[in-house]
Amino acid sequence: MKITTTYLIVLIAFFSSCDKIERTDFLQGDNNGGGGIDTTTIVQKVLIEDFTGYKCTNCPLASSELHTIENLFEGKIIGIGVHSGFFAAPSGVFTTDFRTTAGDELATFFGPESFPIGMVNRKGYPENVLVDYTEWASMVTDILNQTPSVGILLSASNNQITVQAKSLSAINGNLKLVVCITEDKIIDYQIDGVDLVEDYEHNHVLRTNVNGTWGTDITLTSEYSSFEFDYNLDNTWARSNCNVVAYVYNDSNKEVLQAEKIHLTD
Amino acid sequence: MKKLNLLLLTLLPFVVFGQEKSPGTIQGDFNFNAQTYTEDPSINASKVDEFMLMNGYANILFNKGNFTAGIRYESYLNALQDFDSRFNGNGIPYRFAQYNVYGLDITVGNFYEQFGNGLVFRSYEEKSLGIDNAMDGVRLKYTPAKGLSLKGFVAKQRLFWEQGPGIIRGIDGELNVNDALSFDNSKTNAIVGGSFVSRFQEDNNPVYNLPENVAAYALRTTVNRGKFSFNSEYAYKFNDPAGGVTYNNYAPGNALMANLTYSERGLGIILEAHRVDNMDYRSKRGGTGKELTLNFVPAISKQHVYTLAAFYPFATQPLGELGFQGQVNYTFKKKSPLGGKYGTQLGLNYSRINGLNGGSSVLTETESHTPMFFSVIGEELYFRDFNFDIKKKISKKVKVMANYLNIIYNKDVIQGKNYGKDIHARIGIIDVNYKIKPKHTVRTEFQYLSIDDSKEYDYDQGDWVMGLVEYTFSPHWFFAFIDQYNGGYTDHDGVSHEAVHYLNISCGYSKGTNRFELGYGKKREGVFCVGGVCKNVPSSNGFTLSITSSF
Repeated sequence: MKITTTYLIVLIAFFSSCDKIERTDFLQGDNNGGGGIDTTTIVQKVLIEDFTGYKCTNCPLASSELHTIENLFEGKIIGIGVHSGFFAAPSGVFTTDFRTTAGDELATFFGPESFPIGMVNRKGYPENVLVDYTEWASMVTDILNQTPSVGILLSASNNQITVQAKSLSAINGNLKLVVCITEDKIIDYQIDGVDLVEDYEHNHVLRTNVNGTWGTDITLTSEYSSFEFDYNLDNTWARSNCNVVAYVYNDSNKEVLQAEKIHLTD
Repeated sequence: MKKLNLLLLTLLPFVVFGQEKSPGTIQGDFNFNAQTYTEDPSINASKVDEFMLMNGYANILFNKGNFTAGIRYESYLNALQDFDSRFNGNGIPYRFAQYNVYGLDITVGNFYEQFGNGLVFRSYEEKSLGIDNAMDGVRLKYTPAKGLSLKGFVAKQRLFWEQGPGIIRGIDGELNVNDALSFDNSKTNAIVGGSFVSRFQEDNNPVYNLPENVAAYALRTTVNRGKFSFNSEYAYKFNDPAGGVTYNNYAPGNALMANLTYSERGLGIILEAHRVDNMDYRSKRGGTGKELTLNFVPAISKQHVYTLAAFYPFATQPLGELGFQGQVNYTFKKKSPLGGKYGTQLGLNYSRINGLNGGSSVLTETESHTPMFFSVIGEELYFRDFNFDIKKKISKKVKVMANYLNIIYNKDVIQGKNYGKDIHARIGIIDVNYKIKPKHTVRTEFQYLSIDDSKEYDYDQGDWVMGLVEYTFSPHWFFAFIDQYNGGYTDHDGVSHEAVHYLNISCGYSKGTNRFELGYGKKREGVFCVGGVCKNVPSSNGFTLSITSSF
């Protein structure tokens, strides 16, 4: 029986792995995740697409998380709120239609079934591309540690967007470039938990894809290539709240390699 | 003919093998479910581009002596609409080899396992819900001393066609006190057990220190004495924050369940209670939905079978609930005033589940809350069900079952809606089984669901009525006709829904171990639950074909 007891103790020791974090240690002491934009070299940026809807009770949690991640990694995170599906369908007091053709096509293709859910650089396609918002920050940390393979420069005039892009290393697969418009600071209804909020601020709302849902085929070299797109803003959108977002993705695995955003001014 | 020859040649080694001494056995089973989907705006049913969707699988098991090996081939082309589309594809997600020598049982590959009641670990499959939390790794079972059994494993968990990120380690011990101490003649039989499970998942959160090893343990006991049986288990989970950067809850979790049963001829009584706080334990930090669940909190409400009785099913809330249930089954003896010629069975059941005082435990850098251990009055009601059923054989040809349910259902908590009011439903069911002549039986069901339309409650979808006629010509055939009718309602978005009939016809044929069932009709949107775990089923219109077989 003594031998049995000894074996049992050894067995329990093998399996008893547990980390208990004390309350004073919940937050890391020296968070070095943030930092401004590195203007001297091309830095990796991360695209977070948040499938959301104003009738989705938990979606504000994801929006809030996205906002925190943007602040944490200042200048390196590009968010797009894709309003799609049942939770974004207008009804009752929800009269504004935030749905877009591109958003609907993205939702149909990637198939979010429970909201909120998102994609971080569309990594993990096909099975694991949709990830819960609590995983976004960890994924961002991983991606930001990688060396960028594509560089993007973005500029816009009143009706034309210029994207310059180059490859920084050899890439297998066809590349595609997507240019889209997002809008911040839209005040409208949103269900937040058990509350109906009348003046909720919706940010990074996808308004339109300038060159289609899946973008334009491009070939990149080690020198910048230039791509130009005409665009028009709908007269219901506030130009000073709008952004141009451009991202390059690999069509073979849908992974976004680089993204960039500029804010439009009046 | 060539194909037949080829088939015979393929099978020949097995036939020859089968004639050898102790060749081992091969067993298998097959399941096929297909459905067509056509658009039907009257019930908000959509078509699918593929026109037809299919779920199919087959288990093949080989056993010889103390050795067993098996595989399961699964095919979802594409997965039926009420299943997660991440199942789409073909493959062999389940394969294992197992042997037992000198009391040591070794499994490599996939396995299902449960420790105690499952409060800290239950890996299982429930195909109808689209749940398959199979483990993949190594499992050992051993009996080092009389009455003592040990189980341990190290494995990862299935996530559709891949695996979750966590590495799971678990150990469980169970001691049968009577066997261990050779109390063979004792009137009391006691079993005690304990289990420990730990999940490892890397932490690369940029803001928070997250525990990479998250553990949970449980202690349990079962005591049987005479007509009484008592079972209880307590579980504790260490800090398991979801992992975001905005908010993390470091509160530990715990669960306590207990049930007492009494049974004698003609009488059975069950009393049970459980309290669950922050006990959602998964093999992925912050996992949601039905994927990668490591533990299971048994349901504490009656699992109804009849369609309208199961219209508002309760889904266990692992984040926090306090529930009670009582069940009495009594059989009035034959030839007694209430028993009549054949006896009468009566079943009474009551369950009530509410939220924890102030919500489940919270521990963040700025907030700390631990709910009172016991609090019922004034707490948010999640679910209440009072129901009874009477089963009576009237004559040699006629059997009758009557069932009444009175349910209060908190749709906001259970289905994540934003109604602000509970639903109060009263359901009556009559089931009559009439044996026309030997082998020919007609069964009819009439069900009515009445919604309380007072201001205190939500009207939801209003009243429902259902009728069923089923004709069985045993042992091979059955035919069924079902109609569910809803009188129309206006939903919370202000959309008006017309009255609609959900008609279904189906026909089944069985021969040996093969069974075929073909159906056509409309399915209503709803929630389907097994054991307190639920899934949403979208409305649909189309043909269904189901085939099962085994050898």
